[in-house]
Amino acid sequence: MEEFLREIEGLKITPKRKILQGTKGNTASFGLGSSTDFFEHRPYAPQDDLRKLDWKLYCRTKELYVRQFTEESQIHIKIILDASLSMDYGEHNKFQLAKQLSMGLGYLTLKGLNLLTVVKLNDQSEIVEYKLNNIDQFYDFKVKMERLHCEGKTNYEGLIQQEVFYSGITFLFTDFLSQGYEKMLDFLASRNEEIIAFHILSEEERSPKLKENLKLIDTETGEEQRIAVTKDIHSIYKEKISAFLDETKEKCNRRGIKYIFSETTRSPAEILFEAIGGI
Amino acid sequence: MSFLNPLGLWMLLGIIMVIIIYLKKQQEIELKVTSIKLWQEVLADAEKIKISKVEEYLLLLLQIAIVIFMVMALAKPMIYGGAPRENVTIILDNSFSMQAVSSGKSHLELAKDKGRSYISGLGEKVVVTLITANDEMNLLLEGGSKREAIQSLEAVKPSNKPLNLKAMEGINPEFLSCKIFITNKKITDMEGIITVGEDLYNLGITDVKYDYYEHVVICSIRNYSTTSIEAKVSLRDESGREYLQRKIIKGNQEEDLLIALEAEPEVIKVSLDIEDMLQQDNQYVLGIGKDYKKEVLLIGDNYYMEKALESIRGINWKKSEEIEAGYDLYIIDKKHVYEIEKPTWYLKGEEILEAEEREGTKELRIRGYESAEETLYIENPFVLEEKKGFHPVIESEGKALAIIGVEGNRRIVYSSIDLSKTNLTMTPLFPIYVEEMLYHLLDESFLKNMEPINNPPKKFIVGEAVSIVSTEKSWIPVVIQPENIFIYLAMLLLFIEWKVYKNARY
Repeated sequence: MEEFLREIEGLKITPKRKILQGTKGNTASFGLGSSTDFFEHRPYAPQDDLRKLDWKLYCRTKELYVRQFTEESQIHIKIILDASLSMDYGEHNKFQLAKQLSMGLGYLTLKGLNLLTVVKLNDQSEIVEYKLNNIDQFYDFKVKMERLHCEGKTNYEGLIQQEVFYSGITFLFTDFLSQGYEKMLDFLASRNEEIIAFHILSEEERSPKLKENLKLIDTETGEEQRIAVTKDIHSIYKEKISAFLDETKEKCNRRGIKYIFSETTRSPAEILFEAIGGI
Repeated sequence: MSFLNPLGLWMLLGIIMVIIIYLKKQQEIELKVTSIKLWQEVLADAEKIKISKVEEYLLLLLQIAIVIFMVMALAKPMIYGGAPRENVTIILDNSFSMQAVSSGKSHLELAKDKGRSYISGLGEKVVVTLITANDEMNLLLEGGSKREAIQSLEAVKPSNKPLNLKAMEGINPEFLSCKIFITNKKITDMEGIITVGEDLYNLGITDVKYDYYEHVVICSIRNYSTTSIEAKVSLRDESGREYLQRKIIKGNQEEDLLIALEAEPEVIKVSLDIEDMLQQDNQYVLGIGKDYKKEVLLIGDNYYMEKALESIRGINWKKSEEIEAGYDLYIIDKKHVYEIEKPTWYLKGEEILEAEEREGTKELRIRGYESAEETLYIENPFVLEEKKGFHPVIESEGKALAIIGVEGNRRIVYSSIDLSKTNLTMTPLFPIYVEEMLYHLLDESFLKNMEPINNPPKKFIVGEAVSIVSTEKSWIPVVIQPENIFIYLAMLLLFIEWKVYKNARY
């Protein structure tokens, strides 16, 4: 974990657009305020703070101008972590990867003096951490995250009840294998959230190496299906999974959501670089 | 049908393994998946391309057939025709080439293994006759039990003689009516052959000769394999002088290598430097010196004959007035007829056989030298009467002056030519004529018998296969040994099985 954090040390979570709301922080927002970043001059108006008059400019122009500075706000970063049973799968476990990526993002958030909220998603959605804002809180956050485990089914619509989503960045970790995720995406997009979706799949799901007569059991529903794996079935499956990935990506892109395909064999640092390195 | 390797049939248990594997494959394996829905969609699409259950059974049948064919190939079946007999003759080739080694065993050992398996597979009441075959056929066991036959078989030793197929004529035809002949040679025109060993990869020295006049050794090398092999020949004389020669010899060809020596050696040893299957024919020892030359005794006074004998380098000769024992050839210039068992050349044949004197100078003709430039003549020759079993060598006006033939077990020449009355002695033909007569009388070799040295034979197989007509044609002991057919069938089915498997399964 330490090595992973060291690898991502240089990354910074920066929003693509300016933040509408938020308390004072380190990230540029839409408003003008008292940061050190000069924005523009404007003509003096009565009742303006005389400390902000630019006297050097008055000497040159004999006109009174006031200096204006940009306002810097805290970003509220939300992590939605799919903790349904379908995430507990694969030799390289999907949920472990999701947790590792979440911890990495949590570290970057707290280091950047931003706010961190973590929502666990299964049958219901549950807030695990709310508005953490200090790097000192990272150790407790890490311990809590490590204790999380998978249970139940994924109920994407449960998120809609949560009030935490407004103007910020939401990182979504899920396998998109349950129904109704489109509604959730629409909801997040409508709350002016900048969304980055991590589509987590294991290698066994993407290209299964199956040869025998199988009794398939759904990890979430317990539903059973008997199947004799043939060459044809294998190739149809590959086509299906490829179509599913394309479709999910397309649905995300259509809503302005950044889509990151994260197979469990990929290095977590590499995934994070792809997700936030270029923002 | 019986099996040369019945233990191989145990491999049939492999069929049970195939069935167990098949049934095990039919068992379902539980597998947890993250989305059964996705698989259900896959199944719905695959509905149209349903795999026929027939393919499953076809695979099983093919696998069972492969096991059966492999077992049959391993068990080495022999298929008989007709009803089983109570007497069986096993002819075991123990000739020179059976010493060849392939796969770590000599061909004779392989032949014994086959013979042993064959005898073990026979019924308890069957009596076995065992004959070994080399340049002669030796009856080792007549009508013995199976146990006795195996004991006799174990005791067979390899011989240094070639296989003489013609010697089979000497075997009682009753034995040959139901025989098997175990050999490493490809004999096609005979029934009941069991072939052992691989094809020979062998270079062998078949003959070594020495030219006393040119001091040249003529070494005949045969390549018994089908591919070209380089022969590296080394020749060493008794004083340690060594001569080396190389030559590439094509497959199934025999070629002569000429090696010129500095002086006439006493004895030479020719060796082939090659790691082939038969090492025993890679060496050849030839005695050349005085001790190895045949001895000729000239009885009586004959100046011309003495001069001629002096010029012949390949023999030792001595002049004597009386007969002496221990010579290989006697040339007698006396009227006396001696009781000798060795080849003899009578120079006064006209006084031994009936002869008639022809007056005048007559032309002389040596058979084989009719085209000689010089005209040969003789004065007042005595012509010999025809003698049964003899043929003329020198003639005058169609009548014989010298005849050659076999009397008892020895070769004899009767000559009536008075060497002082012919110009033959003045021509270079005379010593050649004398040498040729001696060569013929001495069984075409001036050298003493080198048999104890065990030089390799000139050929591995001599004579032609005797067409043995079975007294009872209804039973042929070995019709076919289809082990290779089973191997090919197994390989074919393996290929088909792989194709079906690839088509049906991931």
